[in-house]
Amino acid sequence: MATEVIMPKLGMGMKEGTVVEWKKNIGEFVKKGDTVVVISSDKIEMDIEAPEDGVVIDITAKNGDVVPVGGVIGYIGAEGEKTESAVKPGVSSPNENRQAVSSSESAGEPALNRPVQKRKVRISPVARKMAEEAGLDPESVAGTGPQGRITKKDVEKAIAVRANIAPAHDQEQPGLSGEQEKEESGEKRIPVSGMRKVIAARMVESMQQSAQLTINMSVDVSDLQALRKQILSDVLERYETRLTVTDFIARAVVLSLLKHKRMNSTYMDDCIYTYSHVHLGVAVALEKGLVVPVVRNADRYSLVELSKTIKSLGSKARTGKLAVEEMKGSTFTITNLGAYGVEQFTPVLNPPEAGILGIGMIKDKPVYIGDTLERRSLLPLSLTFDHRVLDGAPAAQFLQTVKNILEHPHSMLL
Amino acid sequence: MMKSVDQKDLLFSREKAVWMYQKMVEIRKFEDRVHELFMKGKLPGFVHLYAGEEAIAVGVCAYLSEKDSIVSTHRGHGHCIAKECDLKGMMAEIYGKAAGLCKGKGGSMHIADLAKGMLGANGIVGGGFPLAVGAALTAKLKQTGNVSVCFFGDGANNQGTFHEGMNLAAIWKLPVIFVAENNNYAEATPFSYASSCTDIAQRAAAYNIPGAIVDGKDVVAVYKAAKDAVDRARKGEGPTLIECKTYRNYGHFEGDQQKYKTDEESRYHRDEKDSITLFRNYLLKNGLLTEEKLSAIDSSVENAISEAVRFAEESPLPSEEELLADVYVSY
Amino acid sequence: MTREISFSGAINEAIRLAMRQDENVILLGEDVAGGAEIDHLANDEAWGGVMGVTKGLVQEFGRDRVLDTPISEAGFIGAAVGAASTGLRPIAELMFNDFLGTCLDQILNQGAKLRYMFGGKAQVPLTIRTMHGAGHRAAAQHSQSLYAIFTHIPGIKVVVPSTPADAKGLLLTSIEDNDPVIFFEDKTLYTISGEVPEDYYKIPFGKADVKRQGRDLTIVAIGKQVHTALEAAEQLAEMGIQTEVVDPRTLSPLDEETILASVAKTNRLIVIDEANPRCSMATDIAAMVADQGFYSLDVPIKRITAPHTPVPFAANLEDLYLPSPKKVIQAVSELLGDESISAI
Repeated sequence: MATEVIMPKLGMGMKEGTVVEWKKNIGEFVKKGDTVVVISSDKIEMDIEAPEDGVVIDITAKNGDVVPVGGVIGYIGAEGEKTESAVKPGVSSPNENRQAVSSSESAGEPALNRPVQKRKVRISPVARKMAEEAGLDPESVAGTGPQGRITKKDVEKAIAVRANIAPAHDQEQPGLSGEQEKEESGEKRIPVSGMRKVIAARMVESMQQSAQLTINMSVDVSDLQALRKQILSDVLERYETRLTVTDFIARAVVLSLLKHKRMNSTYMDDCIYTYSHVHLGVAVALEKGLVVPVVRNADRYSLVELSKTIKSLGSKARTGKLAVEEMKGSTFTITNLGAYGVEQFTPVLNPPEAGILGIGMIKDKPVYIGDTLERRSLLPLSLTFDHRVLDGAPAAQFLQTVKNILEHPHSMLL
Repeated sequence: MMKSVDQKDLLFSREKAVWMYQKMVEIRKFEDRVHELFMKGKLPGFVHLYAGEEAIAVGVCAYLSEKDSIVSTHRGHGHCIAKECDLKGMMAEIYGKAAGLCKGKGGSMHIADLAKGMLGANGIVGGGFPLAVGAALTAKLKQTGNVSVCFFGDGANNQGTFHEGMNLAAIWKLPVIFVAENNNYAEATPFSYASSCTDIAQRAAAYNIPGAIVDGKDVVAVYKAAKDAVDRARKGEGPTLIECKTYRNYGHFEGDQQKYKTDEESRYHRDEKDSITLFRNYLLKNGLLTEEKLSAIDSSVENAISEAVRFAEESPLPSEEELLADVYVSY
Repeated sequence: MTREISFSGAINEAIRLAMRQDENVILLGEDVAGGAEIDHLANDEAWGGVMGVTKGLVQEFGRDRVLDTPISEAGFIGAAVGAASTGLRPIAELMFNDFLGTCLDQILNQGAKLRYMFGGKAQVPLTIRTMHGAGHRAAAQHSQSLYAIFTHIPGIKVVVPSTPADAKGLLLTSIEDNDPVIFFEDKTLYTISGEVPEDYYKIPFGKADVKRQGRDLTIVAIGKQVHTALEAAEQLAEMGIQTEVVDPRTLSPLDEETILASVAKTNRLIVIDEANPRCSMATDIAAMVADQGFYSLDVPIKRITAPHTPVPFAANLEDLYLPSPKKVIQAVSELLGDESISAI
């Protein structure tokens, strides 16, 4: 019996993933634990390991294919073994579908090469019709209906997403492939795929499907910096971790989220979910794009533990070793552009979360303290929140709590 | 040479006598021809022949006007002819052709010509009683002076509709005449077995209406009974049940081996009780018609039947649009 | 001018207007007046219909045109067919549709068939009014809804009104119509009231009425169940689901176009029919939409019908037998896979 290689669910909001690269070809032998294929979710690329010893007997989703969570992307089995799907093309992009059809028609052998025997997809009739009319492969659409059935709404969503991410792809000229340069214009075409494609879709989805807006606030972190300086070497010595301002901010955010539960929430299928735990997403910029490792149950950690966890996740992210669980289920995210000199900015929500806090660059500025001007360190914070979940005032109150904690940093050591 | 006869002693005129004889011969020759055509495999479906019972349809219809209506049975060709339906249209209908009286959509069992007061043959035994009652109700409420006649076989006298129809007609004193054609067999089952009464006419008593028994082979006797009943109906005195004792020359339907009949009874009805022979003798005896005249009628009818068959065979089948036509007046 | 009258009052008014307009219109049935030929009643009625629907008609039109019949359905329904095909325009009352067994041949093989069998030479302008519907604690032989049996028969038209105004307009159309029409009156609707125009007006056959507009869900409901649908729609609206309620009004002819258009808009269909489910109108409409509107559907078609049982007598069982707003909302919850949808 062949074993299916499945597109795993890597996060709460993940509906589909992209096959980035098959590391093994059909017929190649694999040992259990070998990396067979690299896939990417909206958050990260991930190696899929062989579930057992065997031979790759079929690849149903090729590099670049987008596959719904739970969809089969290939099979591993005994040498010479055949699967049902080995005789039929599995997932394929709409473009390739069209090509297959037209080539078979021109050859006068209608339907012979067509992917007629598609895997059974649970999809409603009207959704199927809409998908067909839109040239959308139903297998690329994630279903949210009963038993995962693809509904009209799902297809509408998929069409909207595609309209925003794929026009260039659709208009690809025959003969022009990959990153081929147009010499005359100096323009370089980079087909969006893999992680970039996923990020693109996720961000568009975020912008289209939430009512997000950003509020800014400056926090006086002079005392915090002083405190940090004061304890830095002790902590480094005792706990082998170098406390950063970000660690303090993360802790302050966690404490504030416990107080403002509405900020620690997600919006899914017309429902608001709030959580008593805080799974804190910490955005990490990689060369290929952004990943958001998640500090699970961050509310249970002390400042130092939090600091250590964030660093460990960051280094795993940079070496591509994040586990699936470490990218799932964040309830709030922080993102830091301060290192690049950015002060205030507009972070984009990481759906389905209701809030993301952007951290800018700390700058010293003259500030009136009573009647005297003093040199103070000011940290710009930018909070993007989903207005569907909460209004401006509670969001501002949350931000105020963060500010308060940061301006009275000793409490964070407790 | 025709003998001089005092017309006042007769029930009907010579003209009427010619009509009656001609209609009886038309029925006989029509049915004999249909029998042949069926044997040759030219006719589709079920065919029930009226031959042998001509005196009843003709005797009754001879006293009706065109505006009076009749309701018939599955054995309806004779009633149609007696009510002056077109022979060509009838034959084409039996062939299932476009030129049929019902455009080929009814067939042998459903020939109708409402303009002639022929409200239709009926494939349901006993189906016609309420319809005849309804036609009489129309006549009564609209005060047309018309009557309706319900022909039915001995098989139908055990149906509930017989009793319901007789009762309604009786309580509402409707101008309807129920004419039983008791040919002694309902399909293959004898009347004596199927009915608790010895005569259908007895059942009239249950509805407090007159019940008469006549020799259904004697067209003059039938005519006389019909005349009494129709006159009574027109006077508003209500319905009458007339039972005509008769015998069918053929089986229940074409293809019936008629094992239930005895040779003796068949021979008796053919040789001694043939209604056409009896009427022919009556006409000759009373000097109403001559042999020459009768023979002339015979041959002209023969030609008419042949013409009807030719017409039917040459008629096209109904167009395919007819499948969907005339389910409703509008839909 | 309109004013509020009852469902039975609207039917009475339609008959009265039709009989005034056309002297060929007669009413016949068991005790449509009652007390025939009882000296002390003379032209007065004993009943005016078993439910009083035809009260007062005999006084105006006399006993020749408001004709009491014996309990003899095959006889008088068949006589009505015969009268219709010879020039009258009868309204025959089959007291309960459950009695159709006694007279089905006259409808099925005579009234429905004459025109076709006779190549278009006959017409049968007959209206058979009949009472149907459960909920009256009348048990198995007086509570059925047998319109599907008649709808199955070509040559017959079938009308099932749900409101007083529809009942009047549709009955006048039925009486004027030149084909046999079976007009169903739900006995539990007789006492409901509604705005009904005073004048003589007709509602065309084969034109469904959208009783409520909505974009999320289509409910096709028949007769009294239109009210069940409207009640459910009201509750669903509070949960943010906009329901369209389509009342076909006539089952034969059936306004397929309106049903399909509504489903094309909402992509979801529930059919409510209080008849038994096998070979029912609910099943027929579901099949029609599956056949012609398949690519409009986002969820399976749901039929809400009686179970495959006779109508029980005990009150609790009869209530269980009938469709209800609660059952509708439960069905919506299942269709949408949303457990938060539940009846109030």
